Amino acid sequence: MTRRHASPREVADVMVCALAAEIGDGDFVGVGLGTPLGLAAALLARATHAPGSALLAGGVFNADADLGAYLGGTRSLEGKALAFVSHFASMEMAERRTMTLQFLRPAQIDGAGNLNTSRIGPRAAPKVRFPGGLATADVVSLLPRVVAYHTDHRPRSLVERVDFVTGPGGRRHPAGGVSVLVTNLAVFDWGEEGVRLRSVHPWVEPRQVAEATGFRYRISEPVATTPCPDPQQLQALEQIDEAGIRVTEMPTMDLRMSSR
Amino acid sequence: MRRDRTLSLADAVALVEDGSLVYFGGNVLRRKPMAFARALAASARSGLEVMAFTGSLEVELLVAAGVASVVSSTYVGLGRLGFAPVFRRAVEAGVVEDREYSEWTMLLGLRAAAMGLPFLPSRGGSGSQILEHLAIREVEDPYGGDRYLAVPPIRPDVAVIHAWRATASGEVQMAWPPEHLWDVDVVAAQAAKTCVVTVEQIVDRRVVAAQPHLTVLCGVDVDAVVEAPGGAWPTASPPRWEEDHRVILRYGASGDPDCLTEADR
Repeated sequence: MTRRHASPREVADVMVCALAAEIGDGDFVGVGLGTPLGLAAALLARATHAPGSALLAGGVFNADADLGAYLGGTRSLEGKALAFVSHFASMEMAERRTMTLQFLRPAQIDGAGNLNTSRIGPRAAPKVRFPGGLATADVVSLLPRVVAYHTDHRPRSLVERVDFVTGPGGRRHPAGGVSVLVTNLAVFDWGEEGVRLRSVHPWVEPRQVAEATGFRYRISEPVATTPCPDPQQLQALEQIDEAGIRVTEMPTMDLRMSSR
Repeated sequence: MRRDRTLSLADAVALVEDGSLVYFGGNVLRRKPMAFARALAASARSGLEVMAFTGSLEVELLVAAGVASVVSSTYVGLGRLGFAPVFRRAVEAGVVEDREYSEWTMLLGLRAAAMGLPFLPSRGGSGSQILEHLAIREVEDPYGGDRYLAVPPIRPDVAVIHAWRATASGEVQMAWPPEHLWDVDVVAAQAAKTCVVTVEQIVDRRVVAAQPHLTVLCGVDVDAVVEAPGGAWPTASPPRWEEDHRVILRYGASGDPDCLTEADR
């Protein structure tokens, strides 16, 4: 029977596992420090199915450390990191495609895979100016694969057409662009025929996804269900993030009200 | 006789002219040259382009004071606290011009200037509206092949960074382990026409010579060394100071630049 509700932690864990599933043993993952769910996913993959994958997060390479230590910056990682990499060297790894995968969290994404982390409304005086895209424009056109996630799946975030193209979808450049999108409701992927609903989370009906999504997407019936974390993953997540930092990235009622 | 590049904070701030492009080092809430930003905000300067790779409170101060008319950045925010309220309001009201860069275009632009080259090529960024707005052109590989972005040089009139310590002649040291984005500070310092480094402490050359692996800038690339202990407050200044969370949280809640004045310390 389909469940109708999930706690923020359960949602976060299903999202982290769906993101981690995108990482293979041969991947070299780059993550920013503003995307804790992506960082948790990279740590989870290294602890479970992809121990050979490599991770560069905030200039820190393959540290034997948990999520909190990574987010605490280089001072909390001395003696644990194998290397501290300059930002220029990190970006060179992206330019020469040694780095294979990055996680991004856009404010808006559309059916062509375009990402907006910049602004809503006109450039001269936008309705909302977000803090900014950082390396979004660069990585979507440099890396073989980019996986996006959004913790607040609704029509104004999954839109027909983004207000501003910070990072273009795959059709506008030779690199892959966004290949997968994981939200708090579902997983989408992009292929030759455009965007497709890959799976819905265990507590979600396909109809809810349709109502919450502003872009058109393909469906293959029956719609698959996103896997729940298995016991090994749950145990690894406890070690990676005992404090539950990943849950703080889930939207709260207050945040929803202030950004409406 | 060895060059003495020490200046007072007031004399260093006076190097900034109306309409200058002023680059601020640091990474969000770490290593921000806040003492310099505070003094510049209190000056009579106007029409500045304020550039920061990842900006925060220094941008807030300079926009709130009305000395910045352009803000160039890849990000302006308060980290996990979210939006930078003054910057956001000013852009949304159309009061300041907002030039958003991507990380690689800003970094390559600074590097091109630091190398004295007219551009550096890259595969990155094509199709982004950010690049359209920056009017970045393409170049063809002269050895045959593809087209690449030709990222033009970014040459700040003045770059200001905050570091741990330096000699009076301008050999600058940062603490170990290296901070995230430490090298962006160095490239910006080398790219600028005038480079100002504020430091926690000016030290004897023997202190620097004892740990030369910590030196990130040579005096030949530095124009002014300003002793400004606590000069990054309330942002972090390793190895001495961590972020002053009390003040940063209060600022995040109120958006009141008065929170960031020294008197509040």
